[in-house]
Amino acid sequence: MRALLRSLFTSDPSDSVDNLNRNYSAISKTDFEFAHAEHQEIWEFIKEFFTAHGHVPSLSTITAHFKRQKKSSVSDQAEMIRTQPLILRGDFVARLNRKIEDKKKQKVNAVLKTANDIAVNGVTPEGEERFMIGPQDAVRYVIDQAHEILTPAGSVKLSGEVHGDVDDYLKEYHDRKQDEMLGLGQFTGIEQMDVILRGAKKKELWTHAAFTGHLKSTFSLNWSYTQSVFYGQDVCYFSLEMPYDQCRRNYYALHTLHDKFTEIRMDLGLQEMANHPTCVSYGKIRDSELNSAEEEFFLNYVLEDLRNPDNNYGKVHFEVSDPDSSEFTVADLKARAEMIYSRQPFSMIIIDHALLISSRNKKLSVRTDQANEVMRDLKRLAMGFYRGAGIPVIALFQMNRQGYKKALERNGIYDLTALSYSNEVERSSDIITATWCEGVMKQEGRVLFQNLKTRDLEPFRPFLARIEWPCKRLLTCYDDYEGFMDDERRERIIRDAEEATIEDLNLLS
Amino acid sequence: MAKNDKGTCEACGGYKYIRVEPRSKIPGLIIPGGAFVPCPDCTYTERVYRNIEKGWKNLFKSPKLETGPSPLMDCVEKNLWVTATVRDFRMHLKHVAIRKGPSWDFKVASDKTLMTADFANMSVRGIEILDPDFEELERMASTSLQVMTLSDLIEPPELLIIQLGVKGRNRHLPEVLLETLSQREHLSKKTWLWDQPHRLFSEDHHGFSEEIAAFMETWEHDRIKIGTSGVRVLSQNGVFEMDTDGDDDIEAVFTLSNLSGMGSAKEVKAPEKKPKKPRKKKERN
Repeated sequence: MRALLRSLFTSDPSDSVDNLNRNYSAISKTDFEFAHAEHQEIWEFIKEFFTAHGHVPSLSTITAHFKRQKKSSVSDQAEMIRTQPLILRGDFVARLNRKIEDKKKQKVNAVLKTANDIAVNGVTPEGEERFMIGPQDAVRYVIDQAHEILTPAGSVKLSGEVHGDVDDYLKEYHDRKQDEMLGLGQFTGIEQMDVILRGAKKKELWTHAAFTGHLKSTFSLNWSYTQSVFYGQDVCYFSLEMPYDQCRRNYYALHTLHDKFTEIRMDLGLQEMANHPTCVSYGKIRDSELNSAEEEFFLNYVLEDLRNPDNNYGKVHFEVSDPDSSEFTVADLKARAEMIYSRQPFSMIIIDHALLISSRNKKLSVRTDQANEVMRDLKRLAMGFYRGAGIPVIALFQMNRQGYKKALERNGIYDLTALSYSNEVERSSDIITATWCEGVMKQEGRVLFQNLKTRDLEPFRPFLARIEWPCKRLLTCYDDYEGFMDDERRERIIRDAEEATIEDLNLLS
Repeated sequence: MAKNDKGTCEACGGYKYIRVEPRSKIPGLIIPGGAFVPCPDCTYTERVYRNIEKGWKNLFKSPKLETGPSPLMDCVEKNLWVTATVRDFRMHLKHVAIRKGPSWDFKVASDKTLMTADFANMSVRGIEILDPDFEELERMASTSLQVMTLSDLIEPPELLIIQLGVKGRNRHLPEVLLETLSQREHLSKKTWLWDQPHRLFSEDHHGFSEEIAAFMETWEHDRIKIGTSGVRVLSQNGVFEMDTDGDDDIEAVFTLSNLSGMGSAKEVKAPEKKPKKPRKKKERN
């Protein structure tokens, strides 16, 4: 309890306000109460402060407030709590869930005890207006109380009556208005996409489709890397296609392009200009063929940085299918994910790829029916994960050959008919995106992103992102020069283009 | 392109990209690795060339427009009916395409290409096609990756330029043209109709029909003629302007409105309505 409270205010200049704000967001979604009265007072003050200022208070603010109110015992408690360890992100949520679980156990004991009293002697339970007696009243009482116990830790309602729930909605509305991060999902790191879609949100199924070799896995690996390293969020990644060691190598290669290593790369002679980042080739990492400078950089800086806990990077759990089992269903996936989540909550599930999941109904012989069932189950997974708490699920999907051929004629633009086997994909998915990378685009290190479906937003227009091929890192790229070129430069470039001949262009190529 | 000591582009050092400030300012949004643009100094020409060739093959080889700015530049966001020779139009279009940059989404399709796409679609549905170009069309319809359906051709580009007068006589041509224009209008995408001075889009044109005439009465569009003596903007958003130079090598200008006598435009009335014949499945010429 103390560690939870300690993780809701800043005490040291090195405390990350963003992470503490996230802690606040996590706990404020629950109706958690601290057992100790003084702790509860501190928590009430933190809530008031956050509502007014949009961030958690510092220890000095808390102590000053309670000293002004002449509640020295409370300010003393705050001072004592500062010595507790700071817990952040997934660790905080896991600890919070455990505490909520403990409270629920106590509640179950109390409910069963009261039910026993009702059945045997008859009582007027707390919060009830009438006297209850007999086995029927006892069972009815248990059923009434069960809803509160079954509600997931995040205080997500499983059911409700909308007219009576206006106050609950108002709280949600004001919380969202106050905390600008609250309505946002898990960002991909590609600007054009994030600006429109605002990331993958809880209970959403996001299907990303592409033809073979068109960077499905690369996109999902980049996404998990962005979430972990730049947002400090944990990710659960089910790789049913690539073995764990391949995923791991790919992931490490992505980190070699990080801007934090610019000076080191330049010192080691791996990079020439500060604004032109370079990376280490995945192929060289795979085959252990790094030269001495690359090796020093990769082993001593990149890997060490990834394992340094001070960086507060999120954890990325890669899970591959059970080698002893020929089938892996959505139910298996859910069981495994929930087991990991109970120990270390994560913020999204990635599945690479959905067509490799087996259907649970063995009677389905048609591939399309199987795929349809898997997609329906994945949507249910997103909605019902961890007893209704929900989670964003990112499912990769294969485009069919006919769709690929059609897209070839349309400069890489797909339509929904290109999704292999499954017509359920377009129904169950909240968002469908696709990538295309072929021919000149591939040579130039460009990837076409497109949006085939969004449930409640205008889709983004197709755009080209950049890929740094050696490490397969995806980067935001603009194709217009708005705001980047003055008139003089623009005129010069247009003049050059007008005067260029085909022979000049061959030289350029 | 200015070069540095190493012989690579001075602006990007051969990296081909330049790092720029990310544009969006959404709270909490991080753009890992920052944002980039392809280096304009060393990639613009090549990228714009590829885009131009994608829009209309060999357009890049067209000579430079020496007579200054093109009026087409102001029409890229509008529907347009333009009359020009192939040579003039290519020069003007190249001028526009170079300035619009490598991402300008335009496509030039001749009326013959539209027909081919439509035939391909019919052939896929098993409808027998009788056309002078039958063999070629059949081959394209069954094996081509060039055109699958008419909608694949006409729907994607932001600007579709239809070159009239390429296809020989075919009874279905007006229907296909009307379908194209209507579909583009439905998608709120802009279309240019391009005819030539010696083959104006009038009642004796292969692609003309009274239905198209009726459609164009309500189709908001500009009207431009490009001739050897210069460029004349005859109407903007359906409003005709006086022709001030009064001297043009293009003699007849067809309009579908009742604005006869304005400028040098002269009205050609839409032909009398003929009773409609039921459409047959088979195409005969």
